[in-house]
Amino acid sequence: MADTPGVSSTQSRRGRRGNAGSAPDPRFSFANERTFLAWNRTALALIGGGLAASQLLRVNVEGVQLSIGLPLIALGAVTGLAGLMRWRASERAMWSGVPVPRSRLAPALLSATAGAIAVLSLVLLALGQLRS
Amino acid sequence: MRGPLEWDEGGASERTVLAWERSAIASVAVAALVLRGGIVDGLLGVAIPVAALLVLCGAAEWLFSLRIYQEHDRPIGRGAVLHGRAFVALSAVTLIAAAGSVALALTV
Repeated sequence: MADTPGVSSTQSRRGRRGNAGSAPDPRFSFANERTFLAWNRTALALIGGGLAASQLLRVNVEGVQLSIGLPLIALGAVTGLAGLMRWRASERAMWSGVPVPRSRLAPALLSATAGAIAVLSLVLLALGQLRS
Repeated sequence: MRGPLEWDEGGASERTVLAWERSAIASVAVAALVLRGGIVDGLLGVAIPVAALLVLCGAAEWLFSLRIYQEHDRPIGRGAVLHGRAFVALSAVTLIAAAGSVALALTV
């Protein structure tokens, strides 16, 4: 197998640790890295949103904040793990020279988030008891 | 013909650096939120360690982004190994932040 141009054989061997196949094009690796970071930011946004919902929402009905905040935080934790797994799967595919697998979780996650926000809005509208 | 490492003259690494910096800002923002929750709920014992971890994570991400920019034509093999560990650490911090947030949410 030929080494990537500009990469010494030692560095290339080090890079293949745990991976089979040839080194991927750097731009694809960078793109995979940015995708992981985007997943991680989504996770942090969900966690922050959940925490904010549980802390800052002022509703006169007990348990509403938690029922909104906790699922969002849990979704954030799942998103964080999913991003790591997705990065690993893509990296493995790139090193093996096979097409990067399609993400099945992203559409499901988007639907779940949109659903959670819709439920949140409905609950707040139905209660109509926000404190000033 | 140009080789893969000459492609883009650093554009891809620049976008990656910006992605790391956005992640650093997100980490610090969540840290502020966690700290605020801890102060309000009187749960500083949970909030301070989690917030400190997130701030450290943000600082590490920022330093990491500088390193990537300085080595925009870094050997991909070396970078891939280094980043694998960084990604695992980042995901672990995210999970810790989630656990801390659950604790804070439950004490409201």
